[in-house]
Amino acid sequence: MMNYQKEAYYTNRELSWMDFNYRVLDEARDKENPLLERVRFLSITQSNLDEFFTVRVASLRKLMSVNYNKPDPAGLTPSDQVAAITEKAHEMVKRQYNTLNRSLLPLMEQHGIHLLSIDDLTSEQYAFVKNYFDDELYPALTPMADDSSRPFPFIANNTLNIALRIYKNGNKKDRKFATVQVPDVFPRVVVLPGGDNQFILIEDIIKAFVGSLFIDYTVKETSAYRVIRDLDLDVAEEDTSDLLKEVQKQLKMRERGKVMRLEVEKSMSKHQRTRLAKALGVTENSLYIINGPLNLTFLSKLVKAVSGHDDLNYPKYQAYYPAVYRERSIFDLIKDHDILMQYPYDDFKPVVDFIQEAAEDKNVLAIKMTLYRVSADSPIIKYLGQAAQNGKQVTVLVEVKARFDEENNVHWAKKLEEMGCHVIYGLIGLKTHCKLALVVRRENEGIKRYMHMGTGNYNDVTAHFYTDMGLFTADTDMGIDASNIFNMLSGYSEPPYFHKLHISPDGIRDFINEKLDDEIATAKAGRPAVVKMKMNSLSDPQIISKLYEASHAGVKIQLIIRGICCLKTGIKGVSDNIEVHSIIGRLLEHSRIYYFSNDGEPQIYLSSADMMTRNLNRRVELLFPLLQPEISDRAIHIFETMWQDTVKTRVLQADDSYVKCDRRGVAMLDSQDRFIHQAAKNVTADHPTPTATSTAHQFIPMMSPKNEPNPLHHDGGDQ
Amino acid sequence: MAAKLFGIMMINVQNIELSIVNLKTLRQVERVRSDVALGEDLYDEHTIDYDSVEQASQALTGFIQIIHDYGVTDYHLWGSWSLSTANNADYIQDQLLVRTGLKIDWLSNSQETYLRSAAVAVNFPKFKQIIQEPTYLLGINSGSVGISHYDQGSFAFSRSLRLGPVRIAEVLEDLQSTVPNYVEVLDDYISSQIADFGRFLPTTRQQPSQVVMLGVAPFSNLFQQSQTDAGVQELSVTDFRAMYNDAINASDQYLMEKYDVDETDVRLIIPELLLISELLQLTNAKSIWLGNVTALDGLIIQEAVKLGYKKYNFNNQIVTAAKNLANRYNVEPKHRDLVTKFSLHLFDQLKPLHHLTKRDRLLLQVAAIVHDVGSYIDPHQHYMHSDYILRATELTGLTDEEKQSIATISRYHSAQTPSKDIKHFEHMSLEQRLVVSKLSAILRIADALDDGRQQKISKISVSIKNPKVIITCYSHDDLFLENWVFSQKAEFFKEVFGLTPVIKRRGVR
Repeated sequence: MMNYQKEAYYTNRELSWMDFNYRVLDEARDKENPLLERVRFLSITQSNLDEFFTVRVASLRKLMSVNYNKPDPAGLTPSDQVAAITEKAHEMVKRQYNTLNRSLLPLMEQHGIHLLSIDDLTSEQYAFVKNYFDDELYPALTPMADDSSRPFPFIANNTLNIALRIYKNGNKKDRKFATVQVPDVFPRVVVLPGGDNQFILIEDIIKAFVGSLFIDYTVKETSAYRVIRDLDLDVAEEDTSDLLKEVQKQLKMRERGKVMRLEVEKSMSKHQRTRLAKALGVTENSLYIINGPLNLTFLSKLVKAVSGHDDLNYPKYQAYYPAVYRERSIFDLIKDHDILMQYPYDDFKPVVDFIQEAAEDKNVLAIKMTLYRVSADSPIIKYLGQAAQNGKQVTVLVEVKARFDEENNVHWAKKLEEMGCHVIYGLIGLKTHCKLALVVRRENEGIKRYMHMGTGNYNDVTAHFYTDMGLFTADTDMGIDASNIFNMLSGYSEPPYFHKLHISPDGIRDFINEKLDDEIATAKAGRPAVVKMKMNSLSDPQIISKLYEASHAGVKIQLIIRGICCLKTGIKGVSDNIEVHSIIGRLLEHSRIYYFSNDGEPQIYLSSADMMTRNLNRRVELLFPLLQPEISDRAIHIFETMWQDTVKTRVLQADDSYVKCDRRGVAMLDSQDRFIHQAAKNVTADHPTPTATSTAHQFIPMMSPKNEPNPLHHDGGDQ
Repeated sequence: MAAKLFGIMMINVQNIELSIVNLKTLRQVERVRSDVALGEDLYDEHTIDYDSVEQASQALTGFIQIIHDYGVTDYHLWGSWSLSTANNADYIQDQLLVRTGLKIDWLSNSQETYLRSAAVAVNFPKFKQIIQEPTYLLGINSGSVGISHYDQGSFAFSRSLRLGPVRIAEVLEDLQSTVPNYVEVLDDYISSQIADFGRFLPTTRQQPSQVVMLGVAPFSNLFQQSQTDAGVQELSVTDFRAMYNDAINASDQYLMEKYDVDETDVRLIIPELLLISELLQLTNAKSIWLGNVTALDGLIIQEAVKLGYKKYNFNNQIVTAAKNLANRYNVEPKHRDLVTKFSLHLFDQLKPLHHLTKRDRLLLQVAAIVHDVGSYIDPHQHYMHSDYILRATELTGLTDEEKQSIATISRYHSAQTPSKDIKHFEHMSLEQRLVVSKLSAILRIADALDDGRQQKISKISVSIKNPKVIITCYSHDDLFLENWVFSQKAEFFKEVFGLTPVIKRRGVR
């Protein structure tokens, strides 16, 4: 028996995540992307990195603070990891600002989009910002001086602040340090008058006029800074949780909320820098000197404010909503045959239709559904409420523990209860991550169950830019399984077995292992064996070692992994049969597909679960088969198209780098683009003469700030 | 269509179950279990823990919601016999009624055994074939084991043993830490109980038997591998032995891991294995079938039959068991069979007078079979002895109320009548009292027709001629004795039905 658990066989998950963020950054640098989309990608690298520090780096720092020295599967101790992350993070920041300063800003200038500084303003513009400061900003500013009589003021996580050096008029020796928080109720990007697309950042306005806050003082130096703190989230949900649970008791309060990263503008004097770092308890390594505006997430706001440059964005496209949905009951359609949905190329609307029709259909008895992240103005919530009011039994599982979204979820839970739905909250210690909707209908032949199962959340907003897949089915066995899942989530016992669905905790891991064992047996018998998987992240050491074992036995393994991948390719005798692709494109790759050649009778499954330890052990996740040949063939074909992608695919190399495909001699294939075109073709086929008024199914960005699109959300998050 | 859906709930010692079932097809649309252990302290404290009532009512409230999910309006809650033996069972019943609107209908021990065997017979197609040879059905409950024996294609007897894993574990719990070899003590305890039990089993063919086992947790964990949706799996005695040897001296940690049981259930594994091992010896098992049906599955069948959706008839088990009982007490079979025949004939012919149900007919049949068991104690006032014997005996397939009815009918089949001694009647509902009176009245005259125990009358015919009921007796003997006894016994019949029965003899050539 070979040992597949050697440290050399694993990549540290944090470093693999950093690589992922570098790939996103590459999209910002990719000249083939439209300019404003490149700017958006840059903005995303920032929010990703910030979240990574508040959660992942924070976890590691906690482990360090109690001298926890056990290495990860790749052999790195927490302090090794933090050191390596820091190095990569500094490099990343450098590259982010190089991209901004050398490419993106100059290119935007060329297109007449100007981010101005105070000195660039015309007198009219100057008067405008002066008024803006006096009338709006001034009353909202609270300067805080630091002197020996009080402690250094608390600087909140991710707030933008301005550090000042001031001295008393007439006494240059009486210098003081002061700080002003840039109020976050005002837009960061201020649109200037006197021309299209002229912008200035709010901190530049404040810096220019901040002197008026300090009567009798002269402002000597102003520079912005920002801290990223340990948000002290429920670390138990993270992959390192087992370790952290062990050490949690030893963690003292003072370890919580610590500053993970301090960013200061390049213009800040060394004196100010040192003072700030000391006051905030930041070491040299955690100090980032920034060559440009802090917190690049402002770029997405800027892009949104740009007018008249549709050509610099991705062209809009239309999702496919088959004409037949307008004519026939969705229940009849599902009864005819299973329906495979490929979002966002297929319109998400049928899912909304499904709930809406269920709410109104007189034969529907009950609706059961899991809700994880709900959009701010969700039609699904509305129809669930309507269903309850129409006398249907409505049970909704609201997972209130979804990270960064707790408040929103609690809000919807209450709202649903008010509307007469029965709200359940899932199981203690297990987040409910499966996406499942079940409609119980009374029909002539008896009770019939209709289901939608998906790889992504029932969020009509994210459904526009996450690539997910879903299945509508009325399969009897899957229906029984689905009912059992809801019973389980209500606190009743797990049934002795599931017929066709697989549930984690435990179930999915066992199932994947079994399937891999089968493939291994096939390969050992000398017959072809192929495994194809697509997921967001692959980090579970046990599954990885099983994949190595399969590779060793001769199973050909194709993996499409967007984010973290702790598996290494090209290790002789261990992983030489494994290929890993990563697709980063305009849409967030989010579907999870598991394919097994099964000795000549291929089987394909979809799932809500990644192969991450937390998903397999501490989540309620669902894995479901595509049984009808028509749809399983389509799913196989979808995977194949993505595998053949030559434009947005990076291939993981033996040296852990990700390299774009060598396009020489192969046809250009951008899989996302291909699917978008296919959807357009389907739309045209359904509506031979598209009328100008038929915009009803075009994507209309109806996004409130709460649903700010973030097509490449930090990978550790729960999408 | 959906009206055929029925919600069946059952409260057991270790859990509460719900099945929503289509009574016509017997397909379950939903089966849910909640692991609320009401009977946690049942066998050592003899009470149900009040704290668990809240959990139980939550589980039941959830069940009602699921029942509504399917638009089901007919549902019913049963409770296991073991729980009903708790000292505070009535309070618990009332508390749950107040909290959930559901009233527990307690099952009797013999009913549970009967329901399980019905469930096996229906859900295990091979069963019919298996029971051509000696077969035992072992239903392992938390505190008892229901043992049914089948041979040559039919039911032979059933009896229950008051021994189950939870009961054993609870009773002997304190010993575990004090005695050096707990397993040995357990084994001694179990085998002593079983030995005594075995002595009183009816004799069976001395050859290896097949055993069908049904069980409650941790049974299902132990035999997890064998549980599939097919329902029944075969296991060889050797396999069982291997498992037994592996587990018997293993640590709790090992058992928890291997059989995926939690801390509360791991203590049940050893008692359960020892018990099964002893039972396999007792039954001389050669092969073992594992089933996963429970009393709840039997209730499904019972309801389907009751509401006329299914035609299964398991009454022969009840009748056979009654005959077994009569044999145990040396009841004279010829008299017994003739009285049974006359009783049923009278019942059928007198339908216009009594308006009783099929079930009542079965009660009459059982009563006719067992009414004389008291003679075993003393023929003098044997009806008194019959009464208490029957009250203390398991009557397969009957509820406790029905058993009480049969004991009372037996008491009044002879000298006494309810009109003279209504003490026993005070406990019964008016409805039950009427049934008992009517059936007693019929049994009394049927018994009188063979008072001489010589089977002089071979056949009767009955006709209602207001104000008389004419019973024509075909006999070639004189019927002086019968006539005399009959006229005495007929008095009560007249009181109950308002008609006077009279005998007419018709000679037979």
